[in-house]
Amino acid sequence: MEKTRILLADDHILFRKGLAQLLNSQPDFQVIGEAGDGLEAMEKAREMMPDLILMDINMPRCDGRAATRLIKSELPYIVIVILTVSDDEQDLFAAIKNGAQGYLLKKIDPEELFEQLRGMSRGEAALSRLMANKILREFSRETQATTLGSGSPLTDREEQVLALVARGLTNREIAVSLVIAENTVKNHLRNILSKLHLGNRVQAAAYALREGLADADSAQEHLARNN
Amino acid sequence: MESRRVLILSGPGLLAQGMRSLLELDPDIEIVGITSDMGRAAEIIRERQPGVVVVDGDLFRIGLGDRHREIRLDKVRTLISLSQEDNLARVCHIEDKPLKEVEDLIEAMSE
Repeated sequence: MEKTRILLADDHILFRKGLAQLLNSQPDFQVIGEAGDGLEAMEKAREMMPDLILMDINMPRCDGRAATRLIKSELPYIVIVILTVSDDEQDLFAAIKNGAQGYLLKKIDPEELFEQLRGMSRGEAALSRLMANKILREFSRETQATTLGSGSPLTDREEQVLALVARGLTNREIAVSLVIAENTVKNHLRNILSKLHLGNRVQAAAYALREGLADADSAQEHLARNN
Repeated sequence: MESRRVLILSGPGLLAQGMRSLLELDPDIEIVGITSDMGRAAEIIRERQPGVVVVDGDLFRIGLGDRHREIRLDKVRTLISLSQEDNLARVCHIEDKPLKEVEDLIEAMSE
């Protein structure tokens, strides 16, 4: 079984060691390295090329926000999930804007952590329901009831895919809904992200909400159905 | 060697479960409970008589001199308060020990 190779970035040694032990107990995860601050995380990411980084926010020398931005700009394929004690909305929004593909709190159970990380390989974002609701509320406040104009860079099919992403559907669910192959969905999503200069599906969902392609209620309904 | 019974006083989540997974690697250590509730901690101390209590020092401020109405910490042989911020294990408020590896924590519990 191919394991997800994980780099841990956290300045709290005992937490980091314990987390490594928990992850290494799972057959599909392997902790390949540890970093005590954002700069060390950047160096080790270049050296070890992990699949995933679990990144704390508050670290010395270079915090997790800056490290996320630096790593995503140089190594965009690496998935970064913030793992923090902070449930502050500003930290959450900053993390997403910097390119993080997930935001989890340290108070979650190990089993929930494992499932969230496994979900990422299925195209899901690693977000607790609480954090997802905060994102939806934020963009609901900013959303104008507009539609994309004739100058939209997206095709009709791409707009359909984007609307379903904003409702929280996985690629497989989108494929079933639109009666197309899952690989076709992935291709559409790649094109959408490229055309709109976005980094990941969480940013795509936020864009769709902002442009009125989907509404917060349907997104919350999907969350309620799946949690 | 007699098993060392350890109570972890910490909030729920990855820190406490991570500590458990590390300490249980030592066959002489038995985790008798994990709780953030003082009442439950008092029950565990009465029933299971742990010799060691490891406390998340960022959540709780407890010393051996405390006479909390629910907990008799004088029954506990070793109290270790963890400071994540400083990466320190404070043993019975007598000395600070640098915490770099889990072995440092286990050594502190043996004192």
